[in-house]
Amino acid sequence: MPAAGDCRLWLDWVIITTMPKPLERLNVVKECDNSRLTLWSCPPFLFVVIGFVNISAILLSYFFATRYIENPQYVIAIVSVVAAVIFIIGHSIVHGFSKIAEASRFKTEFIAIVSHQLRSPLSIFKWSLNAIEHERQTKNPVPPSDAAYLTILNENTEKMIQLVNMLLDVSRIEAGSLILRCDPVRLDILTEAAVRSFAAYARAANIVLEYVAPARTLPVCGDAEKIKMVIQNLVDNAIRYSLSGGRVVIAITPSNPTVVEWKIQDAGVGIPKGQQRYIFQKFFRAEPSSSSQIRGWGLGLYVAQSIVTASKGEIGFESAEGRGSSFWFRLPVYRV
Amino acid sequence: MAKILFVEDEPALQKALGDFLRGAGHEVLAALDGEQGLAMITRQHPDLVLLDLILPRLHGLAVLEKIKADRSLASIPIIVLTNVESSDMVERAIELGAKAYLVKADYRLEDVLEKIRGVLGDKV
Repeated sequence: MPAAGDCRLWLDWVIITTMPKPLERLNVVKECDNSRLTLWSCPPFLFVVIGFVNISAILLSYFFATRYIENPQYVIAIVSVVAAVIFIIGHSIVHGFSKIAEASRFKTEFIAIVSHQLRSPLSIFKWSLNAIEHERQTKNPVPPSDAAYLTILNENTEKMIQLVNMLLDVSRIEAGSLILRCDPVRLDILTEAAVRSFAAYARAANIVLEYVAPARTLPVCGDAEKIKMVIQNLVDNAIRYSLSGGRVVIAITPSNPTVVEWKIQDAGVGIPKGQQRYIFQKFFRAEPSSSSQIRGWGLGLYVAQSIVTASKGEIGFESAEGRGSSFWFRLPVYRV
Repeated sequence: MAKILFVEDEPALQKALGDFLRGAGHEVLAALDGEQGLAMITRQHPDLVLLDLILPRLHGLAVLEKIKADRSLASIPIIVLTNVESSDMVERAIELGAKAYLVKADYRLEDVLEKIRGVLGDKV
């Protein structure tokens, strides 16, 4: 909630929290501001202007047609001027759309190029650290303080790689080029691996991470690497938004003979009701009132939803502020 | 023990993976660009080639195409090891006969060795 006295922030806050999503689009000035476009090159604003011009044109045509019925040349002149104005505004709208499309294409290409360029030095970090670690294990043990630094470097390199991979996926999703395979994927195996890799992180945050393995799990149809990313994002979020001493429980259950459901439940801070409809939006981070310092990129759930949807599955959640959240996704069982 | 050619223009990656594979008992040859890589494949007939795609002088896919077009070299298994991950590149590489397509940033040295073992099978 903005500070008292800041009118503009208050107005934005009221619009965000109270207006239904379609109505928000009526705030064209804000929309143009968000798109970093000037009003006269911003299609939503120009549509409003063209609407007014059209209505005025009809009224003026009627007014002149009735007043100068004996001089049709006046009417023709007025209608021609109005038509020219509409044509010019129409041209500005098309130009505005082209600028938006170009900016979107540029952004997608930029992310893809930067991500590839970032991956090269990151691979060097990863492999060099790997080589040092291997050397340490096989030949020369290093002092515990150096070992701790190595672990920190390793963990942070992996985080950077994960972020770059996520940015690449975002650019693919936006370019419509996220193509997923349909391989038999065992959710239980991916979950066990995720639980292992998050064990230290959960312990450090004083959170109990529980996974009760199902007696039998059918493989689902998906891209193993991408489904692994979905699971990692959901586990990471559950731990991140849990309170110290809390419990995170993962369960896999067959929804029906053709669908498997994966679910994670935390007893954390929960998502405020007013923010729930934005939760799968890119770069959106829920900010519960009780916890203002939660770090994240706001990309995990956006990527997770895109991957699950592209895999012909469903994703959703239930949440109550102060009581916790439960996120789930369902994927179709793999058929040969 | 196998003779492995690593075509990679980044010396730091050459050193890290090269040393690791040598430590695992393999003979590792290094090429720093596509043309040099192709020349070494023709001359040395390695048991396996690790091939980057974005290479100076000759693109990795062009190297792959030339190897597979040459009958005497076509049977040499090739693993693409790159940081480029576009679906058309992956498809093209597999279509041209690459045995695997690995993204360097996603694989640890041990995982790369594991893949090499999987491709070479009984030869190691």
